[in-house]
Amino acid sequence: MLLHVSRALTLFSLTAAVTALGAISSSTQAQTVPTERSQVAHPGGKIPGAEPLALIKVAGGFHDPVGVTAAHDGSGRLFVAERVGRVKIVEKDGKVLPEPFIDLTKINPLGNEVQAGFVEQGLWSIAFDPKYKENGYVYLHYSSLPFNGAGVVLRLTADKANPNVISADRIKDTAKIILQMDQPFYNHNGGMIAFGPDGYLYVGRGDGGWEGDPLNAGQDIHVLLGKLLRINVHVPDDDIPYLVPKDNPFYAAVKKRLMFLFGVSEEAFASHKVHAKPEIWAYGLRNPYQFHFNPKGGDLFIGDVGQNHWEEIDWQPHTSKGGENYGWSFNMGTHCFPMTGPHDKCPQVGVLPVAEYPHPKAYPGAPTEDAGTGCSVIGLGVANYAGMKDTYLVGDWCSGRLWGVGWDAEQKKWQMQEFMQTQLQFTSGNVDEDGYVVATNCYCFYTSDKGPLANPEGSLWRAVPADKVPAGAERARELKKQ
Amino acid sequence: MNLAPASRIGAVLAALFGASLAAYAVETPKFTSVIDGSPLDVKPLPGEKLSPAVEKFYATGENPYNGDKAALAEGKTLYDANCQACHMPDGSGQIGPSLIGDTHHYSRFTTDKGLFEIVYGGATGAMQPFGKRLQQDEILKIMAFVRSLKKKS
Repeated sequence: MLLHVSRALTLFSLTAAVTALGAISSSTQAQTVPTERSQVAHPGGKIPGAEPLALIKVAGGFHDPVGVTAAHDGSGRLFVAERVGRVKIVEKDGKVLPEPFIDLTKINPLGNEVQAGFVEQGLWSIAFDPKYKENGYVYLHYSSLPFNGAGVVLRLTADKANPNVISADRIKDTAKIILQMDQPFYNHNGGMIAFGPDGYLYVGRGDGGWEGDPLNAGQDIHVLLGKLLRINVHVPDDDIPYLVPKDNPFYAAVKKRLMFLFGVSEEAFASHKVHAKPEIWAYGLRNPYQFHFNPKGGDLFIGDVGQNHWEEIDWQPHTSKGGENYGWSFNMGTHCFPMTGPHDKCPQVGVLPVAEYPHPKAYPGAPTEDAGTGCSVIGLGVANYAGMKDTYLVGDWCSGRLWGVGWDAEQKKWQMQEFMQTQLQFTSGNVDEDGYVVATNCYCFYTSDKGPLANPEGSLWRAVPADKVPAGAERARELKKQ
Repeated sequence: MNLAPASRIGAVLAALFGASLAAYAVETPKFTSVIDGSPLDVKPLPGEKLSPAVEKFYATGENPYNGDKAALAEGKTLYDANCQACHMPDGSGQIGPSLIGDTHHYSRFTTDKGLFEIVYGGATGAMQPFGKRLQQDEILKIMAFVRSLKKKS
């Protein structure tokens, strides 16, 4: 009861503070989460002020690159995760260092630490501790071969004497398993890990795989599958893998307490989900492969990969208290799951996305369309340049399209604008030290997969204003009607 | 027509060293990328020897494997491995567009040269440049199989 009141007071004061800020900077405060399906953006819109973009090649020669991040330590280095289990360093001038920063394929003579047998498996993401310059902590998320595909979040400690290599011995010496999560099927593992502005580590986990969420993991708050997790990895004693932040939405829910059947409000009864996983920040997600915090203001975007017909992009303000239910598997985007035709009717469960787009067939039996379609949303990063403010750049793994999702303060609605369609199968993205969105592409797919080391090589690109393309730069080809 | 310098040298080499080097004398047609019309660099993969069918295709612009039963069988195997996930076993399309309809996403689909450009050089996204993965002879066989799907539909 007391907890509820104090939370309300906090919310009130936060609202007052945000409203006051709103008088100074209108755009961040004006964004709202849609409350009706009609408010969800679709491709074909226009982001006010957005200038044309070009994708410039930063570096190439990667084996199935599926993650990228900057250390934000002033070195300008970018770190590309190769699915097989390696992290490559790209220096500020675009040179790829030949020796991997981290090589998980070589720490165990019995074989790879990483399971990369299926195209959705492997090393997905690397994140640098906010205090990396002091503690050298770097975190990886991958599917473990020894633990039969379990999702592992591993912490390693970089070597001050050797800033570009964490050797096999050092990996073994400093390895700390933060999370080890059972994974029932080989797809929908999630992928990205990233520190939020609050200093906590967020982890995207898929619903466990197969199709149709057979375990009902999305809605099941007793499992870590189908969730965005939020944990505190800065522990007073390193024997503790992590702590659950006290303000996680289900932190209080699992607290042990005496049982009383009377004298307790309905709301209090509803809030104690005694077997929930307190690591959960948001649920109802199918496969949140990429998610990103806005470097300006800390709002969160999630690209949640959809199933047969719709992809969705979710957004929450930096003031969110967590606990959002993004609806899977009751809904995908604003649509019913399963879709049976064009006129399905069903309730909308939980929080709406801010944008969605269809596959070429928007429902079973639909005519095949092309405009504004894709099949696998890959969030890339939040752009605050080229005329854009707080705009989430998203790519698609199948159609090669690049969109921006942003708030139109004048029309008071979300917009989704297509910038270009490319030959690139986007796999991941992030914001570099200068604030530009960088993105990786692979030549990898469900079929024709030659394995994580034998597919044609992927590259790293930077999204720059189209009128600021450096001379001699290689620019990603954009579809032009001929 | 003027032979490109490499072909001239090839012709000389062929004369000196016989038919086995004749492959070097074949001129590659000018292919363009379907995405933006820019020149498409078509060349053999490491270790790939261009087959007679490929050379005939270069010379005539037509796929000699069209309607060839043996080639269609191999084409089906390759199609199943590389294409059917997006275009469906019958070519009707799902993630990828239909290959058997009356209209086409790229108008050049109807010519063999155009279809080769789409498959070899890739279109958008997951319609990869299959020239990085498959030999050109294999691409011709897939193309022949795709043409046969249209006839079946």
